[in-house]
Amino acid sequence: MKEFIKKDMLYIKAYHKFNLLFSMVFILSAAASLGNNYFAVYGVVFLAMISSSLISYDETEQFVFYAISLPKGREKLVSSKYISNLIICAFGILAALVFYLIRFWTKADWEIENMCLMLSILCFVGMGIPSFMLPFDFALGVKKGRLPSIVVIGFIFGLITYLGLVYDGGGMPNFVLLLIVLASFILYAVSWCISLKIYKKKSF
Amino acid sequence: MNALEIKNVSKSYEGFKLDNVSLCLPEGCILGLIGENGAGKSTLIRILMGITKSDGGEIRILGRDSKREMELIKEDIGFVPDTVGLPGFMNLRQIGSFMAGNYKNWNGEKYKELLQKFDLQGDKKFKDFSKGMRMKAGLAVAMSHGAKLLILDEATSGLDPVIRDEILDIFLEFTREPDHSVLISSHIVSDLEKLCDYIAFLHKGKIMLFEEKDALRDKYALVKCGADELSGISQEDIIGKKINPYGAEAIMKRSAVKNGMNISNVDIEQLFIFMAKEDEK
Repeated sequence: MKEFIKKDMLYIKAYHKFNLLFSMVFILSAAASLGNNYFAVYGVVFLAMISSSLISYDETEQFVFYAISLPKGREKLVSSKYISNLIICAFGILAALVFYLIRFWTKADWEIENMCLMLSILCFVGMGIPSFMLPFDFALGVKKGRLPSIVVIGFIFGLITYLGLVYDGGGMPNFVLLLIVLASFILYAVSWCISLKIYKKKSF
Repeated sequence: MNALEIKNVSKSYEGFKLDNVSLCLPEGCILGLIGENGAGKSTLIRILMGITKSDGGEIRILGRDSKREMELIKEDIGFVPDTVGLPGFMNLRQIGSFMAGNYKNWNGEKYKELLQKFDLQGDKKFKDFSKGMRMKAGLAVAMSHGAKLLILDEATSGLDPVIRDEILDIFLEFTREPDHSVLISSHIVSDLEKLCDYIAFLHKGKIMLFEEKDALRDKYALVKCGADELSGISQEDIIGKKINPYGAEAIMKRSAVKNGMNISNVDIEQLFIFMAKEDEK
């Protein structure tokens, strides 16, 4: 498994430098302009799309067939994408946290509520998008899985906007934020299990 | 023991059917799977490797049931697909480390030795190699984890004759160990003729012939005669025939050859072409 993740990290380093850069720019912009969640969400969307691209590289290079011929190759291929995404999202969330803390420190403006809201949204987007995308990608291949993915991304953005409208002005209660984070993890775990099941049975 | 036993394996796609394929490969031997493009060679090999799921049938590899023990079996198989899909952005040293984490019996020294033998630079990215070099890299990987069975899908196609010859020598060296076996598919019949102990013809998803290579020569002959001479011979004894205004050419069982007929040894390519064409009539 470790080797699969290392390989994915190498590909991210080689092909996704700009994704990382753009997402940092957006997250930094969000931290610099408190209240503009759009920037941060957009930044994490950049990161959340990477795992799907990694599958696409594996398909294009026909590494998929090679991977399946390795012992426990199907499981490793699926799990490595989920773990790689967790690493990337953790990186994005950590970056957001650092940017917020720098802003708070320099401006002496401790808006913790805003930061918590932002981090939970990032968590939801960073894990939610791949949770819906990856099972489609593994079942149909990245080319055919793209359409359902776009629909899902639209749905997630709609949900975020809806939550924003519901709690407009009053701030989101802590338990809702906690629920969002919890739901993201549960969704992610369920998606992981579904992808493993799909891919174990998949015939090429 | 048989390295490979395939019984009644079938798989249907739209417009193609792999139809009850049965084969076996005794340990220590090389089996050549010959077939035209689209005959089902790659499908069969993908089924063996667990990439494609069969619709039915039974497969035993190195004495184990492939449905129940595939993960264990994979440790003992060296697989080289028609397109060697190693990660293009990794160099061969990184690929070695990658494989070391995936095979229990990975032998780094053997891998290095093979890279040297094949003239492959360890620090060069896989995507920067030519097709022949990629194939050699695939072979180096396949032969560095103590595999007892090599499964090679069109491993020599698209390669120049010098590299092809080198690769064939490598397979021969591999099977010097009594428990090492090779299944190789190709539509380049001359390669398989040099190499194989057993030959299987796969045509339109069906096994047309499965025989020991030497027995083929003993069993069949190429006959040149007049068209009328063939008419007196049972159709069961004629494998395939071509009739033109100047006479007839046929491949038939040696036991049915009549005195006075002009016969010569049949090569595998002729046999395959005659059988395939006869099947299409």
